[in-house]
Amino acid sequence: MSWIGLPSWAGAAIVYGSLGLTVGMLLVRAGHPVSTAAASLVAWPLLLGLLQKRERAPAPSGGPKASAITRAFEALDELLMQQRDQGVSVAWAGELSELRRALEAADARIAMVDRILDDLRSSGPDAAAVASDLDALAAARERAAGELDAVLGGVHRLRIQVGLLALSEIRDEASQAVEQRLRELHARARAIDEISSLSAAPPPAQAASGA
Amino acid sequence: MSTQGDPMTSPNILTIAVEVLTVPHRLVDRYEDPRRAGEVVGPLLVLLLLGAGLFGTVVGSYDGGWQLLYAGIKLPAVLLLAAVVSLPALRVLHAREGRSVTTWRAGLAALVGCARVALLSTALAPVFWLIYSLDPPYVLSILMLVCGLSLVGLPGLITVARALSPGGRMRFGPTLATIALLGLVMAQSGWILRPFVVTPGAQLTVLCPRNGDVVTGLTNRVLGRVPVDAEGRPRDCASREEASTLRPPKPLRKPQGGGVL
Repeated sequence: MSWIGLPSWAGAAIVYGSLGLTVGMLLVRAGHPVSTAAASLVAWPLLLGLLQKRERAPAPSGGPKASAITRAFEALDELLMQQRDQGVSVAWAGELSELRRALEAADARIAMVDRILDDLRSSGPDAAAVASDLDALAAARERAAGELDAVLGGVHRLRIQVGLLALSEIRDEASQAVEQRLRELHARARAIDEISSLSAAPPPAQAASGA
Repeated sequence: MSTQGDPMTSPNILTIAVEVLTVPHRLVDRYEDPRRAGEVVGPLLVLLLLGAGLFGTVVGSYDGGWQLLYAGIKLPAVLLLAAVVSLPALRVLHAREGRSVTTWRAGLAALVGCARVALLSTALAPVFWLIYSLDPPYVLSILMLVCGLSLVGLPGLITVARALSPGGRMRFGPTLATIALLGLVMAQSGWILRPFVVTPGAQLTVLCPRNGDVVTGLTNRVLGRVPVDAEGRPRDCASREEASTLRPPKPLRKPQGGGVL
């Protein structure tokens, strides 16, 4: 900044303040109070997460279980907010959004398979030629849907477990149990992918002859 | 006073100050939801600016004058700068099994940690005020400042490490790495934004050019070797070339009657 007669520290302060002003305006637009926007003038790099969170609104998957997933996680979200108010540690809560995304992705894949099945079954004579493949696809779809239902049931049980957290005398242990349950649900959600891919893949012998 | 806060009303700054000092990681847990950020960001920042600003002003009283203002502004800036620079690395350190710390939680953890350092340094301010008013030698003043900042800094670093761990459960490796990384960045930030304690006889400067690292710089000062200008007067700051003109020990004492409020 020496080219306009300002010392370098003053130039750096102006640039930092301008960025803070911009972040502040974005925070106000995102619905945050003015006090938070004012704080961003000084500490905007620490508040960037507030912008990121607001921009990433969960989009429904459009699959057959979309509304069930939305209902389950909204209820859980509401409960978590109440638990935080009571001083219950729910530091693992951020991981729920990952689980939700995994379930919505699985639901979207099921919706896609449904569309494929509908298209092929309604295509008349061609459907007979691929009947065995269609059956395999339908079976894989059913297994994935069943597993998705099971994970959703797990989310409901998780809600009960979180509700018990506030009443538990040994909160650390209860919190660990919830975290463990969440980890299991994550693993099951990941497994839906594997079930689908294994079921949809041709048997090894068939794959070899095809090659 | 409750340390948990009343869920029905917004917490006031005193409630938050108590929680920052007693259960800082729970504060991070409670406000992890970004929709509630407005309740906590303002009070935390006020605590940080006032606490660290007060301590900086007291440190600036060693020289007095404009240094009161400069040090009062620079000390909160040191805390914020270190937090901002280290945050991306800290998020990576505390991610495990493919699960990452959210950007907002990391920022909040840093804010709470900095506010804790600021509050603890406020408690040290009267001690430093008293000692600096006794006109200690320059080297002793610097050593005391380093010790004081280490003393109040360590709980803040542990706070950040704990708040970044899910459930407030610390893991040895990431905690140690957080303390080492954030501590070093904080020390070097302090070196970049210096001087806090002005070298006796040196001309007052707002910021020093970046020359050398905090360990070498402090060692030189403790040994009484300071950069001098062409006329042999001591300087707080020097360019890289001038920094090579280090002088052997001199009696670095404040001129009598100057620098104390």
